[in-house]
Amino acid sequence: MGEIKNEKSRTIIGIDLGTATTEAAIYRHGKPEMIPSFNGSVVTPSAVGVDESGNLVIGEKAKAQFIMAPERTVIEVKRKLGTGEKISMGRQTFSPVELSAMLLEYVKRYASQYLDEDIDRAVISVPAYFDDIQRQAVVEAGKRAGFEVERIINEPTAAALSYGIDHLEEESYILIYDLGGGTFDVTLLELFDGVLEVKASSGDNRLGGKDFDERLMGWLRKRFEEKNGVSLDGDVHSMARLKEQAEACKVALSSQEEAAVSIPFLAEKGGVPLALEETVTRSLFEELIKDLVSRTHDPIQVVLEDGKIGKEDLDLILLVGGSTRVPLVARDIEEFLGMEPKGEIDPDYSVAMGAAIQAGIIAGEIDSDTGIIMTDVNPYTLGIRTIDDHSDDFMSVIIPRNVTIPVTRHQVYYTVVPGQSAAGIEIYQGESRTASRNHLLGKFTIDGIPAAPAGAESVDVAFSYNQNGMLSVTATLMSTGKEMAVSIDMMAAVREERVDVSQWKTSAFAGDYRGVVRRAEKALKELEREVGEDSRDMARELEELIYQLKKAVMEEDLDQADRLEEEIRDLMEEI
Amino acid sequence: MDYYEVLGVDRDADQKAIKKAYFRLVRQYSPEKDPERFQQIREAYENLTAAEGGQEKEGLMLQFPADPMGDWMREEIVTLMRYRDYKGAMKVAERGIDHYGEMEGFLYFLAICQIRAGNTGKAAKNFERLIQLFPEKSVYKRRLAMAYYERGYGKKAYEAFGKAYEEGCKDYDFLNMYAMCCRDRGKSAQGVAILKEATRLLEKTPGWDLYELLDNFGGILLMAAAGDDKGFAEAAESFERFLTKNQAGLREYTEDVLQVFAALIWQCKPQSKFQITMDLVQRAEAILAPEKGRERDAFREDWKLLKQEIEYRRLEGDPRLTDVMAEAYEAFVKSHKDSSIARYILRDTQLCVLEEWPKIKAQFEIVKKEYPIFWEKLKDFAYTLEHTQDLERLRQQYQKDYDRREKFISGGYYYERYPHRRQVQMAVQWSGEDGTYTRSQPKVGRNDPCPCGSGKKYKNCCGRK
Repeated sequence: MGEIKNEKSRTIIGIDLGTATTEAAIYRHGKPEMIPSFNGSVVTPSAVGVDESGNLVIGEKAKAQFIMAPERTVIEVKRKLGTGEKISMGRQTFSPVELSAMLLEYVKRYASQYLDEDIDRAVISVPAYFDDIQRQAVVEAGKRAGFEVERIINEPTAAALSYGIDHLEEESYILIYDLGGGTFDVTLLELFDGVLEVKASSGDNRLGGKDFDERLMGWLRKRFEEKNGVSLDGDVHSMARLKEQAEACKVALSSQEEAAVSIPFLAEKGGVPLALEETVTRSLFEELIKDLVSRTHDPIQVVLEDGKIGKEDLDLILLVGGSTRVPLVARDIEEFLGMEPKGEIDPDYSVAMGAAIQAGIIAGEIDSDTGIIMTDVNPYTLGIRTIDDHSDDFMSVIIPRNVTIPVTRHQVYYTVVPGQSAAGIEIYQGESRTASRNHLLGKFTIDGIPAAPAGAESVDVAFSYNQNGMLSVTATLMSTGKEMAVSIDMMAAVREERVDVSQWKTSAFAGDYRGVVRRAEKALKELEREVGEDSRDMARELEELIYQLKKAVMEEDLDQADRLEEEIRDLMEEI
Repeated sequence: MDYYEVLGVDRDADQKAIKKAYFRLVRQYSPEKDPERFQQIREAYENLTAAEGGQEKEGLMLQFPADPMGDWMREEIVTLMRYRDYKGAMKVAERGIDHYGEMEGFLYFLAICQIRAGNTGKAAKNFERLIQLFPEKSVYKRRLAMAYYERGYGKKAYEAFGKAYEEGCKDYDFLNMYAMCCRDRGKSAQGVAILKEATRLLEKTPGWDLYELLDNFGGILLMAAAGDDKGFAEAAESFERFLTKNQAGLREYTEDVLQVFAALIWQCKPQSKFQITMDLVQRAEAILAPEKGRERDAFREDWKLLKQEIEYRRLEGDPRLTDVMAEAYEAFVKSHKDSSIARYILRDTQLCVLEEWPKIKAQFEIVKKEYPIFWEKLKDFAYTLEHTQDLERLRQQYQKDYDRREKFISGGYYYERYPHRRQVQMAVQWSGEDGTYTRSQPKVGRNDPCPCGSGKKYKNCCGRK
């Protein structure tokens, strides 16, 4: 008591938030170590549910009740991350972010108990093929669970780290083949002199072990329905049991040649209970999933091409992700690449351990003179909107994807109309050549351009992007040296929570802005009475500006407030 | 920045030594420890390795003079190009050529800058020269073809594209331009084949954009529409497969799919293509339709309009049908909005049809059989025509309504085609029998809004004396 607790804890843990299971690890005493949950197991099913009396249950317990109560249990939530989908659980519905936060919060609790300190910093892994919105959803989930998310690390990179830490002296090209529950990632890395460098990555974000389950489930269901002349359509309980048995059968087929599936009372017909009894051979199962497995070939080809090496240059193939336990996978890779993959790292733990190693690097636990060092690449293209010969919505790329970060890149842009006095800089992220199809990160305007013919004045736009997800954009007017800059924190979830601004007038600086807010609110009311698309858009914009202004005043960010005040005035003139 | 100095290697260091130096320095200045320094190291490494890798990609190993002045000029050009100062870079390259003669590196950079600066003609000349000097390098042939095309030398470009393609130039941008060139030269089948190749290439690229892919498949469809029916049917089939495969992702691009079809409608001339188009549109609708809610309604509405447009275009090109039917299509189907203009147009058409009746009846039969959307809207009127005994009375009734509307709106076909029908308008009509007169239209008060539609009061407008 009496202690002031304002410092963040020094310890950072690594978390692998998987489609099927979740693991956590910590780097200490010179090596990564898995963190066991309350029941002593280091693997926690990624399942969330509510029990009969309405209490939240997570992990093993939730997974256990899935068969009995699928309507109260949620699994595979990772596949929904980044979508706006609502998931119902019991009587309530939740967003994927909320459900993921519950899982992470559970991890936070058991890790804090095991390590006997309050853990509030984490490195969380995501599939390399996650897009920015999915990544931000993960950051948001971490925040809600009470974590400071220090870094988002790609799963294959994490796996490579956990291999690299024990093989510092090697010089090799490593291909990481990561087939998880829901996603497939392939990453090419170079290990040289203890430095691990990501060369290229690719993948398929809709391919994973769950697809194997579904194929098997589909086959079992079809057999059952044909044999008995019943339909399982819309029967969630039966489907849940079928899913569980299909998964168990898949796992069994990894070690044995055939497996029996037996589900008593799967359905009934005329009051007679019907049971499912089937024997599935490995070759049948392999026939069912063959085309899925060969879908991994194209991404592999792509990373080899991007990394400018041939199949024969590969030194090592590492398998990561539970689904690589399916024997066909290893056979298929060997056939395709002409080299036997190694099972040297544990496919279940390596990602969490790699995340913990990354955490160790950030926390300074790993000596940078002798320990492992990693360079990463930016996962998506960054650029601004420009006008080219064909359209005014062209994505001019400044930092392409797969470039090693931190990185700074420049591009010079010219004025397009005679006497142009200002230029809008709209910052986008994404792979489309049409800017507006990408994700808008922010925008600002550089003005004060001297009057001159079109093309005579130029603006140099510099993008700096670092491994903490910070992007700073600086626009410099070449002729006068005038600079405008903006920083965007991509690790801060974009969809920030609204703060309560109702008390803004209590701020010491409120006086200066009262007038403009009053006028703007009046204008807003009038706008809202009007009909039509234009006034609705304007109302929305004005409302946002008023909110931002109040927020800035409350936070005593007067520069920002002045800027907003001006923007509001401009907008009101337009109205 | 001198990249060799940053990495601490000799100027003649080979790739292996550069790599070694890079990794050693990364350990010393890791991204976590010294991000600034790391970036410099990285830039140097990328430039020293990419210079080779990049040229390799184009199959290039450029000759440059091996002296400090030549080195400087080369660096200067690269820097200026990075800042998009192509005019400046051109000047340096020209000075290099003046000084050293036709050195490959300078010629190449000069030509590239000329293209970027828009001087495609001069660039083409330089690529021609480069091909003369280095006939074995296919990359110059590729560049020349693209320069010709941008310059607008269609025929030359087509030949040059063919040559470069034979020599193995098959990258995405090249293929795209080649396909466009084929289209311009009227070789649609070849264009389709090349665009297909480009599309396959795009699909293999990591992170390919669905929109761009749609663009490609749409392009194939449009190009095939200019060719024969068989090719078009094939393209339609592959477009459908593309839609099915990317069903979920394409939902947000339905408007763009609509645009592809809209463009397609204008490409199609012969009747058979319309049928294929219609079939494709119908299947596309089934594939892309949202499941429920207001979105679905809006979607249905969009596709309804599209299908109307297709039918309309077919009807326009149908030699068995006269202009009146096309007008009727517009009146009955397309302008169904409940406005006074729409009602005026409808009357206009109805009157024109009436004048042609029953001559026009055969055309009605064709519509009934082959134009379902049109017939749906037309059938009530057709019924009226069939079953009205006194067509002349019907005509007068319509004409009365038409006249009333014609005061405010003009542009109808009726009086243009049948001027004898126009009755002399008199403000006052005498009734012969008892000598009283009636107004043919209601009296307009001085302060009433003027009937001409100006919005002013009558006394201030047409009523002014």
